[in-house]
Amino acid sequence: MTRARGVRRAPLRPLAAGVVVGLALVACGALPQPPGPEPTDLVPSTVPGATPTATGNLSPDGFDVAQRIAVRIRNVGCNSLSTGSGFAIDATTLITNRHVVADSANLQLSTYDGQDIAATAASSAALADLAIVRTVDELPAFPELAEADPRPQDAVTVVGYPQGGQLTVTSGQVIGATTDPLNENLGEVLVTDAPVEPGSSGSAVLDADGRVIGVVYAKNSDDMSFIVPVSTLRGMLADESTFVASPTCTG
Amino acid sequence: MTTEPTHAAEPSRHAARTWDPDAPAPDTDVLPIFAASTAAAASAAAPAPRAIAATTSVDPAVDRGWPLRDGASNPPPGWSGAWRRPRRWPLVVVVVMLVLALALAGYLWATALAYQDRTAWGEDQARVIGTELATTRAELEGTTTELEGVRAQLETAQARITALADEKAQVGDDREAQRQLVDYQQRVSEAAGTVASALERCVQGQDTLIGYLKNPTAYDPAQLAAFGTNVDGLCQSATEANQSLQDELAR
Repeated sequence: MTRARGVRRAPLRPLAAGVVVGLALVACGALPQPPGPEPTDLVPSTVPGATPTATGNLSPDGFDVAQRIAVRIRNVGCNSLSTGSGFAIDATTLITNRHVVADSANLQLSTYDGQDIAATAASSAALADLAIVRTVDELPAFPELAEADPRPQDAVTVVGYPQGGQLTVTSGQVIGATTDPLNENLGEVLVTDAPVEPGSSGSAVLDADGRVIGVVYAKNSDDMSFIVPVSTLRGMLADESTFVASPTCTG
Repeated sequence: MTTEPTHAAEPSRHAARTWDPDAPAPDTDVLPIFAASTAAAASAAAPAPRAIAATTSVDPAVDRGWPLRDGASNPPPGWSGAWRRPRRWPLVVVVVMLVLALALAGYLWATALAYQDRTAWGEDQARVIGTELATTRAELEGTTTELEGVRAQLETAQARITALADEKAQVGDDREAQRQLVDYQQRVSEAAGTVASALERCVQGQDTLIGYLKNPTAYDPAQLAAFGTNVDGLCQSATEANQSLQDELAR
């Protein structure tokens, strides 16, 4: 009887030892680890970039691109003098309205900061109130053309020289599209409520991202401005044969 | 008769060689039989069994053919013949536990010291960084104030640049307008001069013709008629020059 009990209890020792070792290992795992080596520096070498509260004017002279692309155009005719607006689309090319450069004996250009830019030639589109003016000197900046026309309710910004005065930035939104009331453009034109005045013709119309979405060419008595959409501009620029030399005055 | 200690230590393994049917061999694996109360009673009845074993020359167990381990005590009074080996495992367990506890305590003490050192180091670093942070905050506040001032100056400078550019443009417009006015006045003056000259010749011709007509018999009628035609031509030229002047004034 005693022997039977002894034989039966023999495996308890290794089992108990195993349990003790296991518990010891578990206890070791629960023990706090000593601190590692001291860090060399608690200040991180890189930190997440702080989000600026305002983009600010980061151009070389503090003017933003919308202002730097604007060009004032003085059309000196044989017996007339008029002003209009335009904007650069590359270093030596600017866009304006056909009626801004028509019948000119001399085109005089000046930038947002009063710098005079010599013009070499002007070409007008036959199917839209658009014109291209080439310059001798490089223009300060030029924007990107939007891929598509804006939709109604889209915000727009107009940069130009209303009444031939100071460079002015106005804003509004797209009201819709309509046929050209002046019958100077093929297809539809855009209507916005952005304020414009005589002299604003040829002003760049920009979207919220600063891309060109059209060119101002007219207004009505309800203070609505009419815009040649960027799709028309792109179509004309893609086929420069649509541009012919602008008529000039003689005598 | 002597017996190998190993037989006494592990009687169960060699039971086949030492087992005597008349005297059951001790079973060291049967722990509960040699109970603590029995051991206490035995200890009380026969203190210092090892000493007794050392001073006893004759071991009854040996005489009975039972193997005794080294240092085993004589059986207590009332010994029934069933030997129970003293159990050392509780002592071993206690010793092991004590060692483990000491090791654990040492480990925890060393860990606590390490964390204490780390905490002190971290506090020093925190003070240094806190000082740097306070300095940086003060510098940032000053820089922010300066930046606001610079921004105000920039806005003023931009407004001034825009105003100067506009003034320059207006001066250019005035210059062109003045130039066109000078050209106009020059044309008007030239036309007026032409008119005056034509009128003078007309008047002179008419005066001469009037003088001829005061004594018509003295002249050839045909020549008088021809002279009158010439005077009419001069006056017609004056009329045309005057019309040109009026046209120029009307422009």
